[in-house]
Amino acid sequence: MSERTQRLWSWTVSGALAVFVLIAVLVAPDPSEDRARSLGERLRCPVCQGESIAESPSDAARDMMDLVRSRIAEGSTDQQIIDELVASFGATVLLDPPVSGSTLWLWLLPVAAAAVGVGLVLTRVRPSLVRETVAAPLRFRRSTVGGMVVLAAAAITVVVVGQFRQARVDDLEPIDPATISNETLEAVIAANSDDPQILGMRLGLANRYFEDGDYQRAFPHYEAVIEGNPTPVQAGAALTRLGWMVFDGNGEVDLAIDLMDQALEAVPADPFALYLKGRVIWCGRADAATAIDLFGQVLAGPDLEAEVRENVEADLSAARAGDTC
Amino acid sequence: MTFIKWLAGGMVVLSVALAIVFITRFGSDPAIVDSPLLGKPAPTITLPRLDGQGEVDLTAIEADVVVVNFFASWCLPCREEQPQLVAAANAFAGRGVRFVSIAYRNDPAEIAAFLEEYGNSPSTLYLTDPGGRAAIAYGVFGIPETFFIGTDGAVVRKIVGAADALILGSTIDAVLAGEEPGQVVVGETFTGPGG
Repeated sequence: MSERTQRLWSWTVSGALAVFVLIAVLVAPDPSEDRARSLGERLRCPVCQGESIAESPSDAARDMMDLVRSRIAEGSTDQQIIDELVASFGATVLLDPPVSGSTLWLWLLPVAAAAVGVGLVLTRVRPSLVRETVAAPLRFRRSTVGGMVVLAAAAITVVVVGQFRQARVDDLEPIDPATISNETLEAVIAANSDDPQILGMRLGLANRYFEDGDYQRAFPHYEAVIEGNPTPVQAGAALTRLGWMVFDGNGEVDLAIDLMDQALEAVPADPFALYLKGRVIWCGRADAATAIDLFGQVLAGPDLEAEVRENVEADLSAARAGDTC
Repeated sequence: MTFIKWLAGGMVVLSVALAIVFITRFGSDPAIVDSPLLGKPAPTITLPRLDGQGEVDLTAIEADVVVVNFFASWCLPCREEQPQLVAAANAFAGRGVRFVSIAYRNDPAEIAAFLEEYGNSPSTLYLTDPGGRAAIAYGVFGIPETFFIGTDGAVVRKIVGAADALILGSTIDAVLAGEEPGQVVVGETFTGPGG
């Protein structure tokens, strides 16, 4: 072989080797991708059934793999990445549950079961050994210990079941209506405005505003009650308070009396409507005689609340004494 | 009875108990676990607004309570929940409560159509979640899920499933009253456009 041919061969072989090395470098797996995949195989896809995020084609798994890759690129350690995901999803994100906390039983139970199994096998194989070694007093003691084992098992059961139990909405304590905020009632009413059953809640909220003197918020709710096919009692309550608001807020005496008359048509002799009508007539028309008559009707009625009775009696005395409202 | 028999009895009791646990778990969603975020500081994350007008740092929102809801147009329970969220957001607007709705795995045009159809609140911040980073940070297993962040910046409540206005409002009331952190399941969740 000539020197020229040898040189040509040498260049050809060197070139081929260089190309081979280049291809090998290009197609070689990226070490960081290896690390990401290895980590991904240890992490459970939160929306799948027992699949790792490295295996799952779900969007959530892909997002998590992307996060793992970006954390690796940022220089995070494997443990830091795992800690970050455990902080968000809990230990359930680990395909191998940790040997601690609520998952400790998953590790201990198979060991305990195996130990009992071995014990049972040994008893079957060498029953005489047990008979010989377990004396009567000792047998009692062992039975006691055994009973404690059963009790302990039952206790563990309660703990384990408690840990796995999910709180559901039916488990919630019934909500005390008095503790529900006005905003919550507003939200419930707005979300269910087409439901006729909501009128009672709307009236209750309007009454809260009325008692707080917040006529601006009470007014639209009373209007909605009247327009919403109310029961006579609901209509009476709304009309009475609307009447008082138009008098107290705007000084509209005639309209107030008209609304209260409508309330009394809905609920004849309603004490609250009679009382407020009496006050409108006394304060708005300076008509003490009619007011005294209405206050008298209120006091003659049954089941009057003590506080209302007190107020009516005070107004009645003042009206009789010729005082102004 | 021998010790071994008692021990075996104990194991039987445990096995039956575990069977009960697994059977009851089969009846519920195995993905639902108590959020490890409860009682811990809310994740620090900044997300783009749905309308493209800048970004919002969730931990920088000034409010007594921040309600963070994860939703999507392909999530059926979200359709039921959306009007309830809107009603609650409107009712609590200006009362120190801020609602934040984060669209998960959703095209902005589809979200806009969803909000048009099922309602939206002017006081709510509507955000997108590129790469699902917020969903990962909050440990979202399925949607809808709603998290409540208290005044101290800690996650104090979580609702799994479509919440109604009463649950949303009473949860806010509880957070404002400083009640203990907790989680409740009110319905099913969806994990992707396929259900």
